[in-house]
Amino acid sequence: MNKKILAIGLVIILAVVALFGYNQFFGPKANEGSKEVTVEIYVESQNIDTKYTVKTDADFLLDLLNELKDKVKFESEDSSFGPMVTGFEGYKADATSEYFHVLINGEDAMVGVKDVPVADGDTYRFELRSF
Amino acid sequence: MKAKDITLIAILSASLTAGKFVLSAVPNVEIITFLFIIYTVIFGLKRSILTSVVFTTTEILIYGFGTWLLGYYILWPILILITHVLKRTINSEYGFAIVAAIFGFLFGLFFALFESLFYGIGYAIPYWIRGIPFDIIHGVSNFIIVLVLYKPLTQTIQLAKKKMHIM
Repeated sequence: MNKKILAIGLVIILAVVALFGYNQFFGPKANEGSKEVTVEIYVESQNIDTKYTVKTDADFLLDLLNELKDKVKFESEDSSFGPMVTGFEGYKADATSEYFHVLINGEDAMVGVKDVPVADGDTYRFELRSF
Repeated sequence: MKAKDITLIAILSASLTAGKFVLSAVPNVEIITFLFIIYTVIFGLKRSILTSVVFTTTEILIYGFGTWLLGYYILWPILILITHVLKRTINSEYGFAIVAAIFGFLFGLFFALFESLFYGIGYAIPYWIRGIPFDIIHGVSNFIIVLVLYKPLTQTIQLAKKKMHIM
């Protein structure tokens, strides 16, 4: 019986190693290295229409925004769906009627800023919209 | 084919369906592979293959028709054939445990290839790669199940077989 427990333990260890290896090779990855991206912020009511072209090594858009925190005065709140962008340039969206719409190269973002991979040459636009 | 065989096949396939239901809450931990190996060793090739056909047809009746269910008409007989060929050379539960583990690891690959017959090869590769963690769980759980349960269940079924006077 001891031999069997040994065999089972060995197989489980192998499986854990294999799962770890799988995550290393096939886990979700973003582009790395120096990338040049553009961040645009547009709040019509406050006449905010700024554009920053920056070089970054951030993997995801949220990391990029945190890198630019001092520049764009980015604010966010944690929600059950992940971090939500709530403010830019000192302007905070009124959570009851406004939100920052995220556009990637002019197209609506399909996922939150935490999951948007940063790619070279992309333009990320944050537009205040009301609902 | 005797009435006794028909009854036996009915009981064996019912035990498979029941076994599947019991563990259906745990992803990729199943005793079907284990039971097919044991049934092939004890009751032989012909009865096991017929059992697998009845079992898969029952699956379709329960879950409705799907292309993946067709795959089982091929997959289980392959396992039974492999077991039948190897049962003369394998004489310990370790051998069968390895067979079951390899079978579990290749399960996803088989279905990826089978489904690609319907949806094209472009479908097969991501299907397989995304399923690899589950294949690993499948292989490991098969290995453990066969290693632990092979001896006790074989003894019990052999006893029942003798009592029922099945050749």
